[in-house]
Amino acid sequence: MSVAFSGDDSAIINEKLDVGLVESTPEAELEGKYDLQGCSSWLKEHNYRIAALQFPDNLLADATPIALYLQDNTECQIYILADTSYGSCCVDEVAADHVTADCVIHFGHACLSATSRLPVYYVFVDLPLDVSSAADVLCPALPADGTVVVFVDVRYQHALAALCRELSLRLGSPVVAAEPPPSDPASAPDLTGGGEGATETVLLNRRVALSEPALQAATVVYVGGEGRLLTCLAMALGDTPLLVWDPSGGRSPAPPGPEASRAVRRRYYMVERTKDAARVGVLVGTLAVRRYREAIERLKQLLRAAGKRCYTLLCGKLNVAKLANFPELDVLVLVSCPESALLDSKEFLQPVVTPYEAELACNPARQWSGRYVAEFGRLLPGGAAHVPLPEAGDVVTDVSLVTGRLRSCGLEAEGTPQSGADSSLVARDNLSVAVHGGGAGQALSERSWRGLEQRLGDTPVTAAVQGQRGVAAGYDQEGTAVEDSGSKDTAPAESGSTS
Amino acid sequence: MVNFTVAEIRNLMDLKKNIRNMSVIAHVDHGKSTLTDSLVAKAGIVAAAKAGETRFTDTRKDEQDRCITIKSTAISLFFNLEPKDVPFIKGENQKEKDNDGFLINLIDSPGHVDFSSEVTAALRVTDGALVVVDCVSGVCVQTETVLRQAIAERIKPVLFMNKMDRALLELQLEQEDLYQTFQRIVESVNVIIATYSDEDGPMGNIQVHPANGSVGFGSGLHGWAFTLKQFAEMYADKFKIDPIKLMPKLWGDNFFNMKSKKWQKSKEADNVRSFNQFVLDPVYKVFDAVMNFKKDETEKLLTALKITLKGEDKEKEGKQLMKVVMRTWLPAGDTLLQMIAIHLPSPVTAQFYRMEMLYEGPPDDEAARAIKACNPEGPLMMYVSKMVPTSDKGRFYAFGRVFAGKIASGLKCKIMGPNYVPGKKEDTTEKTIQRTILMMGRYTEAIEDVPCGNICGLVGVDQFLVKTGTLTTFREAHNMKVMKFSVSPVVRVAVEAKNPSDLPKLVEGLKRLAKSDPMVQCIIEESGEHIIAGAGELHLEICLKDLEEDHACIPLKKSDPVVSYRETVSDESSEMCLSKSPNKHNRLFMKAVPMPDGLPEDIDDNEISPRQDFKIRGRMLADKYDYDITEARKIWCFGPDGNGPNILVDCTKGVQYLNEIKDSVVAGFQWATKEGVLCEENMRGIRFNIHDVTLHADAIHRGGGQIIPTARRVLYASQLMASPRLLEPVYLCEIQCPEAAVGGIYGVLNRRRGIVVEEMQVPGTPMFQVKAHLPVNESFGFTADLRSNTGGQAFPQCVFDHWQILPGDPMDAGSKPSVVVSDTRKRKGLKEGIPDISNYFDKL
Repeated sequence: MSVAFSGDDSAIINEKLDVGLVESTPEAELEGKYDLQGCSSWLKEHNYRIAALQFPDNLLADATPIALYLQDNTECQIYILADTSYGSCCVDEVAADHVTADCVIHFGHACLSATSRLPVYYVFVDLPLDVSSAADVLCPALPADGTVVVFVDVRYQHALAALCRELSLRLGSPVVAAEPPPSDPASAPDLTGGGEGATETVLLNRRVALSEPALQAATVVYVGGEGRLLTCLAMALGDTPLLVWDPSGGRSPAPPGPEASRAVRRRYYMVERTKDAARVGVLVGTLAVRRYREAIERLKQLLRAAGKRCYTLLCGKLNVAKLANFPELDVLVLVSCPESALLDSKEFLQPVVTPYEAELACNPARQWSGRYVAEFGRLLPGGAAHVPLPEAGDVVTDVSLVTGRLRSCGLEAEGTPQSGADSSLVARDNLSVAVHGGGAGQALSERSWRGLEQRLGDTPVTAAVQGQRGVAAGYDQEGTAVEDSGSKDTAPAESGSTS
Repeated sequence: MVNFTVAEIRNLMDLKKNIRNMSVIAHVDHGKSTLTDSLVAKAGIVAAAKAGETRFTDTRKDEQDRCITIKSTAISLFFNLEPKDVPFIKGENQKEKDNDGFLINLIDSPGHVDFSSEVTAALRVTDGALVVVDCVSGVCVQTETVLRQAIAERIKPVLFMNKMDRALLELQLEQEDLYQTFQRIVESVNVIIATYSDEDGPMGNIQVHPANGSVGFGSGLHGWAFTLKQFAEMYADKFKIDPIKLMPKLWGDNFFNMKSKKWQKSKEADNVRSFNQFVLDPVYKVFDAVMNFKKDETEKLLTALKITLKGEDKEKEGKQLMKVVMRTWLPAGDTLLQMIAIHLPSPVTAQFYRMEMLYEGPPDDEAARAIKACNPEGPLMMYVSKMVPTSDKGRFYAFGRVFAGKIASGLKCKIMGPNYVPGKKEDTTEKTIQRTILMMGRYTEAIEDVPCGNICGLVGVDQFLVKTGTLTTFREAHNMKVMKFSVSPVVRVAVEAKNPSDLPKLVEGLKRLAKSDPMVQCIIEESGEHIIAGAGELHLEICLKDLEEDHACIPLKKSDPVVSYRETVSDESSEMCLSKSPNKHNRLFMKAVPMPDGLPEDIDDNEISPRQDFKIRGRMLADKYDYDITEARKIWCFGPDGNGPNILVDCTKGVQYLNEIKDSVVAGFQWATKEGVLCEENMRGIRFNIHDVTLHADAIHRGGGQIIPTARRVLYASQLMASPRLLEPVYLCEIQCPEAAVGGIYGVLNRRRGIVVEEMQVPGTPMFQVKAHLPVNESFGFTADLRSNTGGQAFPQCVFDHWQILPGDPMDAGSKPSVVVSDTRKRKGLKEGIPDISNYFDKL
């Protein structure tokens, strides 16, 4: 082994981390770029006392001057929130509560999910859009008749109304905008509503003044760049025609590429994995989006009814290492805002699915429509896409196309996982304690190391040797080849200190 | 056709010694189905109610269009043995005392190698096999394959030489030449039998021999057949010798001198081989007289043979007349049914020696004893070998054989899938049998119950089984052994619904397809692609057609066929690979080493398996593959899926807490071996050695979250450091053709990277047989290419044989493997290019 155990301290000091450096904006442009006048007048108008400013990492450089500006121009006490617990697109109400803020001003890209309590003012950091030249590009690509729905990236929100007007003038057919919700949660109508006869549809937290079937028949134009929002939109629309136009890209409007349908198929694979799963973790990915508690309860109920064990996990920002701590769980369901829910989980040990996918897998009454429901609110009772769970009935068995094995969904009519056959007497073999089938107990029994085992006689007795000293990140004597070659097994000088 | 009521058939089922379950097996185009037709015409059982309504042999339309059997079909025959033939039956378990009626359950199986999984399923439920060989082309590759399988399943064979009409009419073979041809075929069949069976084995001597009547001759197409028994009976009076004694004299080196009326043992000037003299000569005479329109002679012959023709048959001439004459003289049905009843074992005989091959459990438990004795009063043991589609879309009959006890409508029994482990709850349910049915060709008849030794179908079980399974009423029963197929699903296509909203229908269709074919694999890949994997192009073509027309009923988009590759390494990792955990507190040191040749195959065949005792396994590895015995005992696991052909070996010495992280490292190993670093294909033939591990002293810092991703990374690093290579599947391809076409074959094979391993003339024929290794990837369109280059004279049979390294380094841009890797990555929607080593390899 000639690999040097190099433990040079300078390595740590000289290590370069890959942090994207963000240029701060010159002070003169601040006011325009961040709509600071709008912010201050909003704060004054509502008489807020304590305001929290939430920044994504890439805008953090401008946080201080903005806070100073607002502090100078309003009566408010200003706090800066950074390093959000979940996605930076969501409003971090919990962090705002720490400073007992009355309101939040959210900077940067937002998913527009309705908050539970606090009013929010969004600053999207607008990108310029020339309405008439935009219409020049869009009009030829649009159908001559039929409704057109305009859906914009939040950064083009400022031009939405004007663009709609312009398009409807030129096309002569109705053009509908996908409107963002109002800022105050108290005055905002329930965005999950809908159902039969509704004249309004919710599409990724935006309101479209069309009924569900009318929206399906319409053509949707998306103005903005590639990203999760577009993926979500393409999936939510199913086979409704979608045109994508990126004003900064310079290309003409076109339907989304094959990635979209690939994404749908990949999500369907996740549904299959969820059907196969025996143990499911409900991962709390938001503490702010309205009705998240209900959503978690609903998921638990759903998974239990499907005969699966479920465990609720709260672990803040997700990373590979955290989730790999639960190898016993087969699938994780992430309850979060639509945009951060679609987690492409190639690196994760288990697939991470959305509540909608969990519904598809476990609610036999729900049919796949090809139109993805990204907001969990719409799945809950009262939501437009709510499908009640059927009465506990037969266990449905089918073949899994992932494992090639048979799987069953549903509970035996007579029992819940706690009662039923599991609690009846079980023959003891090998003097092991009987465990519930399917749950963590079974997973434990499949592990080779369960802790607290003496293994008397199995472990050979060896003389104690001097180990390494220091911390694991870099032990004291690392770096000397001599130390490395004889560190463990032989080195009689070291093994002298037996117990 | 015989008309029976269900009650009458049910009575026959109780006479278990008078039952014969048999399959018809052969190489493709050797005439199985045609031969079966003549049997069905003679003795097929039609329930009285259905008589005249349907034809038995009508099954799928595409089977008729292509003139090829795709699915195996079961039919029942009834045959009454004449009293004079009763003494031929040996053994007390071969016939009920006072009953001469035989129930023969016959399964006609496909001959094309792509469908050999159907043969495997047919063999499992039968006890005997009628091996059909075309006497013109002789014993072919598929003959050998199916015969080998039959013997491995302890199925007793009898032989039938088909297409004798061709030998006479087309090849115009001399009598002695024809005898030599027959002799050679019998010999080659017996060589195969001797290779794979043991004369002292439980089945006894199962060699076929014309002298004892276990070899038949004839023409399925013309409907005539004979064994030496038929002729021995004809001459018995003349020679005043008992037919049983006469039969051996009609074969082999027995010569008859017509002048001196003496039998001789060697050829002399004035004697003739008895087979030629007494058997072939009359047949030749009839052919000569009829085909050359010698009316007078024909008349004479007919009188001599005591054949009387009816009304319109008298008017016939030439080939038509020949057919009628031969059929009347030597009816195929009688001959074959006699042969079957006399030589093939009854369930009682067969189950006695088949039990240990069929049952996984201890040979002395209740179920085993009941199977061995074929006891209808014992606990139910039934094996479901395949699923047959019903007219109700998406539902299937479970088709199988009752080995013990009785299965009945309304019976509550335990249904166990192939993954069931006794004592565990996985893969088993308890359900009531909705209905028990008789499967008669294409249609069915409900029946109250079916006793052991019989074949039947079940309604309402399909949901609880994937393809095969065991049904029992014995609580502690083990599984019946899972069938082992001779082919592997190595060719794949990706399918996609043309209309994305049809996705659920596609998935539902794939599930049905997975059930309806014993071997096809329908998989949703990680990338979301829907893959159908089959044995060959033809198999896939049929599966896709079924999927589109019967199972999913939606328009489909299909990709070109692709093969699945495997990732392996060709060297030991060039340096020790280290990966650190995310918190940097734990380190894993590993190396990858290629496995020695043969070991991956041994793991595939379960010669070396995770379930073995580690000491026995270690000893085997040390003896056969020179592994260090202490290391060989410390194999942590096999992967992927816990049993694949890669191993993880603990080569560390005295590492503390090592057993605590074992589960986590194993999880990472399963993950990494399932999705290799090159293009996320399975790994194969890699041994990973853990050389050292440094762990944080605090358990919380060495949990799964830290170790699992790290184990995966260090495995990837080791793979990348060990000259990774791709493995591609290779077919063994056997081609038969006339000599003139051999050149064309070589040309085609060369273009397709094929390598000829053997070329030989089929003895006694002008045909050549070429064996070659052909990469599966190059086999698409091979059949058509071969035909056009040989004037349609060559016909290949391809069976998956082994994996071989695709020459070239996948890391070299532009090499063949690198093209494959980038195509695969693109198809799976992965990042372009093989990830750099720095993603996985950490520096200290």
